[in-house]
Amino acid sequence: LSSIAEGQVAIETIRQIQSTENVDDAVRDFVGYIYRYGFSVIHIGQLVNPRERHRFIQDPLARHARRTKKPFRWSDIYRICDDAGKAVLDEAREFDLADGLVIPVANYDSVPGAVSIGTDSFEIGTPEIDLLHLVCQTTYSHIERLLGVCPFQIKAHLTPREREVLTMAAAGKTNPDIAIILGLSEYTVRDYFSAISKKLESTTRTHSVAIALARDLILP
Amino acid sequence: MFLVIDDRNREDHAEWLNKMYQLRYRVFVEQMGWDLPCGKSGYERDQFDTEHTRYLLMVDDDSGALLASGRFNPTQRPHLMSEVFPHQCNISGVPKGEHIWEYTRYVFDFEAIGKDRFRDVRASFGVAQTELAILTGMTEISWLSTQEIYGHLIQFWPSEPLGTPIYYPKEDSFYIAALSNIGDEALQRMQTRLGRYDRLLTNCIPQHLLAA
Repeated sequence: LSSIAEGQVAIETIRQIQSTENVDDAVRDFVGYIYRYGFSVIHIGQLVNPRERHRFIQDPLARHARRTKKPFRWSDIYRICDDAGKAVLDEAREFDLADGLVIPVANYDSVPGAVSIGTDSFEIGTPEIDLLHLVCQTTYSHIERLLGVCPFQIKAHLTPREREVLTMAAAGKTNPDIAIILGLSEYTVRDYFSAISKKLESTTRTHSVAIALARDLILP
Repeated sequence: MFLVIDDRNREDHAEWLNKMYQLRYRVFVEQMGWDLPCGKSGYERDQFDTEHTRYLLMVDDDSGALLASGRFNPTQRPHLMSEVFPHQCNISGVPKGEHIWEYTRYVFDFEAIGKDRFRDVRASFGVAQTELAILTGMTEISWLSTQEIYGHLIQFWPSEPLGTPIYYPKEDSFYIAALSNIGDEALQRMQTRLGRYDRLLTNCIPQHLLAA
């Protein structure tokens, strides 16, 4: 097929996916599309999931997806990742998933995500990857629209000072400690925590720290 | 406050248009480094700022500062997509039609807005630009944006891409051209997601622009 014809198939797929009203139908249409290129497995998700935090840290594809906007091959990452990362990809190989593509998806209001599609091996050119990129981006956005942005994944917009105060709390500092270190009054530090609490919808200071860590708003 | 400007009220709002050209210069030329044909004039104005163009401007009621602006051009005349970026429409071609308009030069003044109210201003402007399109008889809008903005806009405006994403190394970004259906669904999606249900452009649109 010519690339124009392939492009038209991609647009038709996008129309179909966007007209679906539930996630199962959207995924079914998407699977039909990627199957043309020999991919058999998909993973669509946001790149911070507190419940799978450990797995996320080990997964070299997810880590790389947060650092780039361009689609990339699993096999390219295999060559450059550490042993722990290789172990994750070797595990996938055992299920005949020797290679694949990751399409990072950047978002305004929620954390970044990615679509990862796998197979035993594939040979496709840049024009086809560009089309896959487009279909993946649209599928991701459509599914996010159907599900609504996951509430605990919405980015809270903390100020640099609020992040600083939270980081110190995460390191075990008390409010008087933080006040002395930052040269503020204790009242001001308390005000920061109440502003943070509103933004994160948390109930206590500890709860704020827990949420901020889980959402990667501060470093542990 | 919102201002809707076209050829018939351009003289009344000449000062605002100048502020808009200056804002566009600061953002697109100075900050983003776009290579635009305006030299170092301090004003970014090109061949697509014409007598047929409609502008939407958002002005701060308190300080009188220009906060945001956007530009609509009819697609039956030469426009940015047809003259400069037709390659971005490499699948479906450049859309043209009486009720299809092109939306470009979407810009905010981050300094004037400030961090705290940026989300609110962006939400209001998003709803206002949709209202403007509907009230003045535009049924579809073509646009070109980065992948990030594309991902954001397709949450609101039912859209489909016109071509494949193209990577621009200088900006380290992919750009995508798209066509959106602008109607009640677009407005409703925008209002729901952004939580803005009030009509923003009541009394802002000149009588001669209102669709029959």
